[in-house]
Amino acid sequence: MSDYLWDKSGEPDEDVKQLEQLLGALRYEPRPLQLPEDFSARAARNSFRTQQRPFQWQRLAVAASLLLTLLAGAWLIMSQHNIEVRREAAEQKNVAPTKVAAPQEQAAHVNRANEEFAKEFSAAQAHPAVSKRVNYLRPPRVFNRARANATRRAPQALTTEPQAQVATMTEQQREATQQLLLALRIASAKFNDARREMQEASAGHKPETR
Amino acid sequence: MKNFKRSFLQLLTLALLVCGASRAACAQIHYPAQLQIDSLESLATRANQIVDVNLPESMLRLIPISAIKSTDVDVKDLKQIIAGLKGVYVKNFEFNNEGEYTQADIAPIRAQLKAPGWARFVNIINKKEGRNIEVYLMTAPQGARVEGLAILAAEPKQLTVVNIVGIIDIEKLAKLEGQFGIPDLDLEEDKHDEKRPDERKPQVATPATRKP
Repeated sequence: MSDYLWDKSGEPDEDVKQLEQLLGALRYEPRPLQLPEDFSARAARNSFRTQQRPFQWQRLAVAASLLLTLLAGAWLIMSQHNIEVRREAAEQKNVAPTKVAAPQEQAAHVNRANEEFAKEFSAAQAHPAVSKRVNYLRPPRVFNRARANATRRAPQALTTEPQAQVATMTEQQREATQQLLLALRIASAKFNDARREMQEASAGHKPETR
Repeated sequence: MKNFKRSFLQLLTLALLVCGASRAACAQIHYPAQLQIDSLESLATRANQIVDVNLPESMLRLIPISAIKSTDVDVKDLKQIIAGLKGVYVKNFEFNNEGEYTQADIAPIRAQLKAPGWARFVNIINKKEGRNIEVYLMTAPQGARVEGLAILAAEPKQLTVVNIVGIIDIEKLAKLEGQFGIPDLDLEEDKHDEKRPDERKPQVATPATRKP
């Protein structure tokens, strides 16, 4: 047994020699890169771009589906909002108007509070020793409940617009109901006409049916 | 950069198209059972009396179904009918003389009724009285549910086109005649009037009735 397979020393076996001969044709031979003669860099780049195009459309499709989802969401929200607005408008006529003090009363209340504050202020200035210690640089805040209520409820109570809206809504409802009943009555009458004539025809009377 | 601009423009165009389409879709939902009966408007100049009812779904939603009350009859059927409706369109023309309208005037409507989905339920031809009544129904692909009704009633001095869109029980619709009249809705109508509605003079006070 030689060391030929280990370090290529000694005599190789016959079958090893035969194998070497057979596989020798496939041995590695170093040589420079040879490009084909009709090769061009532009054509190669273009072919690469065409492969990229489907990906662009995929991106567009994803963007469009996202946009559609957003629009559908917006539409759903809008429709829900519209339904709520209609329901509120329908319920408005059942809601009694809120009782709020008249603007004149509110003004009188504020004036009274201001007068009281002015009196206290002048008394404190006249007898500083008797009066309790108050920071006059910043007068105490007078909570004007009437004004707060007025500002809070003004859109509903002090304007006449909601009442007008209710009136128009009711008128619209009335008209729509009238029209619907008229339409249903005509439809019903014509349908029954056809039915009657059909029954007459089946009983062997005058009208011709087909 | 060029590619980015191009794809941005494409995306913008697509977005605009989608916006336009969704806006158009939101504006009006078109039901397959809805007929275009505006072609009959030309008859308005020749008619003596016109009843024109145009109630799309948005108008029908305004009707407070729960507010419909009647002391003499049960309005359950009427309420059930109204609940399923998606649109009600009626055109009724009364003429002074015979031959004021021709078959060509009704032809566009007949053409629409030949579309798939519509089926002629009844066709009555009364040659002696010169009357022709056709009833068309649009049924759901599955099940026996009626999703649309169209009535074409052509009489010598009267032409009526009725188009009801939505789920409708025709038996209940047939029951309405004579039974209900106008339910008690504080309307200025005679609710005990047992006369047939088409035989009566059309209501002058009704907003849908007008004279040309």
